[in-house]
Amino acid sequence: MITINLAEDFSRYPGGRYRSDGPHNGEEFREDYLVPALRRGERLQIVLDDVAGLPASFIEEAFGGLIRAGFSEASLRRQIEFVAQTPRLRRYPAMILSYIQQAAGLLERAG
Amino acid sequence: MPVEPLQIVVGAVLGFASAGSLRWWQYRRELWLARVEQFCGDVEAAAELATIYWLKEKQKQRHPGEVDEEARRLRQNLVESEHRMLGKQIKIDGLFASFVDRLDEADADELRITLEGFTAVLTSAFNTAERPARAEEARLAQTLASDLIVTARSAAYRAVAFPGYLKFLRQRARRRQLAAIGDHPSR
Repeated sequence: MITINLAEDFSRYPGGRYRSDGPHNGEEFREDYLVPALRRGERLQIVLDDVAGLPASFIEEAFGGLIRAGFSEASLRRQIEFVAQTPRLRRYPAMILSYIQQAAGLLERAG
Repeated sequence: MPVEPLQIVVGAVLGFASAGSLRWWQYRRELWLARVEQFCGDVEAAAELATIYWLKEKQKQRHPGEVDEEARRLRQNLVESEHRMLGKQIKIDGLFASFVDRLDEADADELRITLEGFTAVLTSAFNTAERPARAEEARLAQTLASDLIVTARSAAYRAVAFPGYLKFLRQRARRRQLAAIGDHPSR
């Protein structure tokens, strides 16, 4: 299992959707950190603690974008687990899974 | 019947301890309710910020030599609003975490779902260089904020009533039992 500490390995202040929005955006996290590991079949543990905040735009692009990149909801649930010990961040794992589910639903309706 | 000095002392100590415990419990309850009120205040302030933000069109600078002072000022205000909204989101998250554990589980779950929608409205598509005005997000900011505030207040008042407190103790005991056998994360 690979552990990615979002605050230490990526940024304590993630934000924005696309690379054009500025550094530490969702697209960058997805394409440079998540997709390569997932394509190798690795299991990921993503630690959310110490992040200052998680804008919805970042979460949706980073994780909902995995569905648009071709991963299935079932495989993402199997391969990714989240750690959030900090009380103010504890609601984010469920929120991330909700965005993945919504993206999967949208893709199904469009396809 | 003569009263022993020891009986007087024991009675005084017991009386002081029970009055003190009751006062301490009331003080903790007031602190907790104050956190809920602070949460409601910040949600309302964030909704106002979001409404003004989403009703303005965001345009990127057309060319380096652009000298439209009004457009520049508007862009600057919007960027400032984005930072403020993100700060509000972080503060709201922290306040929510500070009181949610004391709520009834059903109320807590309802609040979490509404808060998820509100977070999306606050920070879903800013940081983009250009976007039209979005009346839907502005409307959602107000309606979800009102929903959050009403739900948080009524859940808090239920939680501090005596039946609510007993229910909280039962739910907490059940969660601890389940956590002990590894079936449920303890809150």
